[in-house]
Amino acid sequence: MGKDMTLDDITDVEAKKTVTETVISSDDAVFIAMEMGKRILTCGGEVHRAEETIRRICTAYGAVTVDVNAILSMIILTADFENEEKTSFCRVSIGVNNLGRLAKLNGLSRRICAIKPSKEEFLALLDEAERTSSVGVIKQIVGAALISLGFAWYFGGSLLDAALSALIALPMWLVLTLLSRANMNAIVAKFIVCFMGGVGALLIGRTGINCNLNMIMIGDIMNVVPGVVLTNSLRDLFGGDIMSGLFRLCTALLDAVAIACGYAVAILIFGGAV
Amino acid sequence: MITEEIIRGALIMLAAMIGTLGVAFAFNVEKRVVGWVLLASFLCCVAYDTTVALGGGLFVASILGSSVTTLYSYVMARLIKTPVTVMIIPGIIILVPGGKLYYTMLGAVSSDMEMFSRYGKEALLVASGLALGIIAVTAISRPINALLNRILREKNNRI
Repeated sequence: MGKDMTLDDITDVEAKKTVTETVISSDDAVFIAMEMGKRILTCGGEVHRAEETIRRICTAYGAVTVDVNAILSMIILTADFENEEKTSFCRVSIGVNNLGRLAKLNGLSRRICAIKPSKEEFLALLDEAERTSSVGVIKQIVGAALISLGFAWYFGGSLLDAALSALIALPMWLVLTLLSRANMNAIVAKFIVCFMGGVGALLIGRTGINCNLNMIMIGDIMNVVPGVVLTNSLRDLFGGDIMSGLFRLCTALLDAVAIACGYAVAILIFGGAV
Repeated sequence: MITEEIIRGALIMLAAMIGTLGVAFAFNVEKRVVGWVLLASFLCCVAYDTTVALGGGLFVASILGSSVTTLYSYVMARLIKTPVTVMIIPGIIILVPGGKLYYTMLGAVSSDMEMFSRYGKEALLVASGLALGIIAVTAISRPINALLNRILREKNNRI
């Protein structure tokens, strides 16, 4: 189908119908596919899933061949829409893990393939999906406290240790959120937060309360430990996305080093933990 | 004696559930999925802690824990229609060796090489077991998924 052809040039009713159905331009189709892929990566989806989503959406909009390569920080796509080839490229910045949004986006991509919305309709749908899956501050605070409470207890602490751990988790979470909003380097932010966590636990130790400082700190570590990144990195690596897998693995290792350094500095300053 | 052990085990499970619930909150897991995620974590905890208690070793326990959870996640993700990642990540979080990493760091800081190497090795063992479990199940799930999709498509075509 030529670019310059308009609806009026076509007399054949059947052909007209086809044009009306595929009236969404290939530019819009590529835009929709790329936006979906980008968002899936941003909220913690695997590379494989992002690529598959882009491939499916492009195919649904009539692409004959779709070549897509995503790594964690970028997506490159070339789609061939019946003799009209489109290439697009975008930079992805990794955001906060939001598994609810990932599920919503996954559902949305299925819907897009089924109803093939126009760009405006898509933006409205996307807006709705993002709005209904944004995570509230209270939910996150409760989550952070529960993680510390649960894991300090699980790893062998007493209930008192668990409660103190949850108490320290709150300011840690608050500072981490503020720092990431202020665009602080993620690794430095983790270092600062863990240093705070260490100092908090050691100060509690100084008050003479009968508690196990190790357990308190372990509970707080579980809040920042790069478990998700590590799990996703392994899945990417084994799924054949070596670049993304290594990318995530490096992030996880750097995070682990930052966490260890944060606590280590606190312990060194206070002259030993136990 | 045995009841004491059972109560202790139940309390550990409860602690793991609370932690997993926290992860589900923090990562904004959908409400309808939270219950299934908790069950994933429960299965992981049972498989891991039972194996450790029976003297199976950390590595085997970790492989068992992660593979059971991953297998369950793949099945449930299909049934309740949600991405597998949403089930696996919170489900498997109890295997992330946060405690062992902490003791490794503590060993390094306090120049206790015995502690450093012991916990460092344990953390590596658990983490690699975790990886192996996920990898093994993912590897077999792809062809099975493809087969299931083909069967479903043929069924739909016949209707």
